[in-house]
Amino acid sequence: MKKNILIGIVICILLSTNSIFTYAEDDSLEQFRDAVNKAWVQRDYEEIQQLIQNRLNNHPNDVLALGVKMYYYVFCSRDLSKARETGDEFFDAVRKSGNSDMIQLSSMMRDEIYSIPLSESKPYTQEQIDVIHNEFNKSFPLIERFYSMATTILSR
Amino acid sequence: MEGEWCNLTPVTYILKGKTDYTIHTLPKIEEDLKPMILIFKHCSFLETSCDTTCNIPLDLSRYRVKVEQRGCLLKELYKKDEWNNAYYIILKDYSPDKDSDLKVDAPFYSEEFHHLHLNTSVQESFGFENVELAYQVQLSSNKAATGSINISGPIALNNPQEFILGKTDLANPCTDKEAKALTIFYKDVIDDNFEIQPFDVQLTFIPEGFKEITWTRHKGPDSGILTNADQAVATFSNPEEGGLYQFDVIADNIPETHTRTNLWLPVAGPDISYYWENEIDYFKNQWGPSYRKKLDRRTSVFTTQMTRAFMKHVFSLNDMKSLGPNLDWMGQVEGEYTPCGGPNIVGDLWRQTLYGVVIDFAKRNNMMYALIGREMGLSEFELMKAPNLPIIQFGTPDKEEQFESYRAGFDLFNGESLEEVMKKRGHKMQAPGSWSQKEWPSYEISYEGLERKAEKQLKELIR
Repeated sequence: MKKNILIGIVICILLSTNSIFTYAEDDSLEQFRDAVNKAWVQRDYEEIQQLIQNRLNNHPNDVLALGVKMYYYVFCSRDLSKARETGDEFFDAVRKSGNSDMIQLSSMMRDEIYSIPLSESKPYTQEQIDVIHNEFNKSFPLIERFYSMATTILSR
Repeated sequence: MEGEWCNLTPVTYILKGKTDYTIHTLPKIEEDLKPMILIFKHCSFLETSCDTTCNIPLDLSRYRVKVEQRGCLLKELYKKDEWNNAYYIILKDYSPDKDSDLKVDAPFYSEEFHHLHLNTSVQESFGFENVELAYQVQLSSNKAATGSINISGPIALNNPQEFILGKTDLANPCTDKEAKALTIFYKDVIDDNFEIQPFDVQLTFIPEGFKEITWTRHKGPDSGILTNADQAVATFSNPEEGGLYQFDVIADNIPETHTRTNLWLPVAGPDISYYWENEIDYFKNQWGPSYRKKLDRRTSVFTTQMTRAFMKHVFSLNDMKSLGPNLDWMGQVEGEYTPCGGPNIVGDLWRQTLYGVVIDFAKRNNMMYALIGREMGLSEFELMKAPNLPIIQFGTPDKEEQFESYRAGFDLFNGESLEEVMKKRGHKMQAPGSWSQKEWPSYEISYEGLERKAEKQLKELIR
């Protein structure tokens, strides 16, 4: 009887630990998203890059960080080769979730990156940068999409 | 008044819940045989003894029913359990002439010839508190919604539906959820091809035995056929239009028997196909091209082809993110007679008719959202999965009927007509058990429009 109770307590602790971990993950995702958005509005690309790097150091398969990194190479540093490379990593990370709709979506996003020829990898002009920031004046491009994909995967 | 004899001519009804009741007379000028009927429900005072002639625990002497000329009166007593243990005293072959007046002595009536006043104390002493309707007027149909109908309010027993004798000022089920009406849903009379199948409604006046019963239409759509209108049980067949049908009945031209009944075929708002076609035309031929033209300008600084295409796509996604939640067409178009249907509840709002199919607010909006999204250059996958995937971020998880409404929008984008789309997908857009399924399509056509909630945003996107 005592043994059963002990096992029950251990299970409860494990379950609650897991629950805390999930909430903590959500919180850190939100903090990361907010920090990226803040840096984006300030056009502080180095800060964005640092945030991505820090996030991936701790969470190598994080869908949010990989998605932001993929678009970072499209919208910020304009390195389409690295964008494609990250697109593959992003797709692999999503594929592990097993969610067919999300896999299809990530595949479409990756393919869209691939559709831009490497020859178009020239840095943006100031006018182009201004247009991009005018369109996305409050948050990093489509970051909510990546955030939601990440939280969906974590909640499974 | 106790012990005093008084003339009494045939009773036509006793109003439920009243402390007095009225005895109505048949015209004395008629020499024809008239039955006299007293009907009581749940009358405890009926249990005193048994009338051996009919084997009913009823002591007729308690009522002190007498006939001056016994040879003129035959008595029959009935008890019908299926009518809530109602006790019937049916006095046949009673001719109300001077020589054969029926006299009833009871302590609860006055000398007034036509009215017996039953005050509270007498009512209690005779256990008369549960006197209920004497005669019955019913509508019934094997297609009527069974059991009870919950219309976000009191639950009404539907089939058969009884109506109060002598009552003609009925509440309207279109506006009053407590109104009495036999209700028949559209979904219950159509076949797999959404064709209306023949069905009947029985209009019943109880009891039989009157010389002349007349059923008439009081109002309602010009549809269906009333037969046997001079019988106690008339039939109304094959209405093909929804709405409120009212039938009146009167027995032997006695004004107090004039009773009105409600047959309710809940009907959606008018057909607004004209307006919706104009909206489709506007978004396909004006708004869409204008949006794409402006998107060209917004991305004109990106001179390389694929980068520009990429930018157009993400800009459009960003536009839809803010536009999508507001892509609603608000309000309800009303006709002279329709809508006359179920309540507007969240998820089942403001139903109108499009090419003979009932469609609710959300599905109409979804359809137009899908069309507009395609005009903006977004893919079907992105648009259809948007509420369920973290793509554009709004809405709630969709069900098959919602997906069908997106497909309808894609069909419109691909050049199919609204009529074709509604024929193909209209019924599939109706959620099971929803009022969209229950309501009949409206036969009225309106050229009025709805209100674009996102009007300002839509204009900004093409300005």
